[in-house]
Amino acid sequence: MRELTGKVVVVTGAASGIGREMALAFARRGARLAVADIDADGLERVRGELESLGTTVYAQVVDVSIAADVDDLCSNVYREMGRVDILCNNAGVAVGGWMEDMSLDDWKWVLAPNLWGVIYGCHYFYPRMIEQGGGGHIVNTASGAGLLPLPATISYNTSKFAVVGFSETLRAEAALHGIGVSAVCPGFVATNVVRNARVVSGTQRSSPEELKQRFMRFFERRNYTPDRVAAAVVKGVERNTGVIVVGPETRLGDISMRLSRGLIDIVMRYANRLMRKYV
Amino acid sequence: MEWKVACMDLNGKVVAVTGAANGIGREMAMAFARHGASLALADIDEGGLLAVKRELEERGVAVYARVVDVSRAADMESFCDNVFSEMGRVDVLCNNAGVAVGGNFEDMTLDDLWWLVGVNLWGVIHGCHFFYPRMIAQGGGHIVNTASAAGLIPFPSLALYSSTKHGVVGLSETLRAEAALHGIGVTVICPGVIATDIVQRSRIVSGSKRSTPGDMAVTMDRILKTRGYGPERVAAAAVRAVERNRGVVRVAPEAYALDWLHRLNRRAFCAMMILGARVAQAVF
Repeated sequence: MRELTGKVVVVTGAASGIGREMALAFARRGARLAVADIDADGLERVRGELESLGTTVYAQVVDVSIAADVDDLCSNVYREMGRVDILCNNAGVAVGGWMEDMSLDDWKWVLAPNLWGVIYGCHYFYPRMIEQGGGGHIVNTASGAGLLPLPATISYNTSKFAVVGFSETLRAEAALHGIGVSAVCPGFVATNVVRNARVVSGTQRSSPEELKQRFMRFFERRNYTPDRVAAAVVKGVERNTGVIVVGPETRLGDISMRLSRGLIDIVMRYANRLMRKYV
Repeated sequence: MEWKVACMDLNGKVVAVTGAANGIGREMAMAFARHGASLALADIDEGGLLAVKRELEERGVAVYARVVDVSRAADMESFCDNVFSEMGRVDVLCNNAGVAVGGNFEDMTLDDLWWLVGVNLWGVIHGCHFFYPRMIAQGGGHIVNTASAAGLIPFPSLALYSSTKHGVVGLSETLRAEAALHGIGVTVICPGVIATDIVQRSRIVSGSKRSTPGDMAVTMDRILKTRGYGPERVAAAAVRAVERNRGVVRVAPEAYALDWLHRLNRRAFCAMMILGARVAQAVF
């Protein structure tokens, strides 16, 4: 999609982090925005920011893991804005820890927005995007952990691998309707995902709470800001890129994974051992 | 070194298999039995399960069988408890049960989506969640998850199936990195086009200009049977993978070829798949 002026863009998880930056980036390119998030206060702030850019905005508090909520969002957006050109299924959470410490509730909590948010978003919006004609684009936020099996975030990886697989497949189907689909795979981006994460395991040196602090410090020191992801997304939509790999660490991971999964396996085992001992 | 997993001799080991009533699961049970293992079998299909149990018992294999819906946590938990109390331990767990929904994503209902994620993804999560900590406690073992070639590459008309299988691959590779420390190996099997009855147990939701969904199901089934790559060859690959502690195991040649092309260039691969989808629409 070359021209973004006047297009209608829906972004979930838009109250902070990558979602907020995507909304702002599309707004700066002249798009109209429909923003959704579970966090009402954050959503109000983003609505204010968007309106101060002179953008037409529709905002709704939505839990993307509830089918009825997404259904409602979809019909409201179509009523208010008339059509949807770009859908960004972006809302997500994370749990850190080892498989044996993760409860089924932790698994449900991660899969709910990360996988079901994407599925429901596509289930309700995609048929109407086909019906309205004139193409469109769907952007699903995955992660570098959707390409690379990093230890200590097994439920998160599972959800993100699933999102990459889903997006690539839907891409092949949607092309017949002139609709593009992209999965975005950012690396270590400093957002609320780490701050809101559940950490269920400790290591030899750290309690779960300390481990979370260490992760947060690591992300802050990495200092890869979400606006750079948003810029990559806008470019990816313009060029219709299937998997948008953002940041050098993700690029390296993706290439090495494609070269040799066996090599990555050895590296990840080693990383897991080091993490349990020294982090 | 503590993060390496020793190779496994299967004689006298206990192997649990879900989805064991037919197809790949049944052949896995047979293959592990031939290597001298005792079997714990689970399936949602009681008739098929009992037939496999009888067949194994006639060969003198110790078998425990139970009707289980892998998508239900309580079912899987009680299966795990019972297997450990009946057989004492579990050396190999094969999370194999799986279903498919074929068709355009826009034709799938919420119920199709829940069913698919429930069996394919939650089935594996439940299996690992209940068995893995007890494998750690007993000091080792091996987990085999059945994914699909569609877990490595995107395959149109199987959008959410591909998605769940990608999830299983990610789960397995991550667990493999974590589990090595406990002396537990993890394998994920990506078979390819295998001649099983999966189409009969699946839902086909879309037709084409010429065919109804029912006709499509018949065509798909015919393609699997004509391709004729038997599930016993997948089972043999699974046994080898456990013995040698392999990670990602592609089985049929098409699984290798498609994976290789996808790794080489995603854009070209997707263009190929779009072309494939167009051709399929015209032909079927």
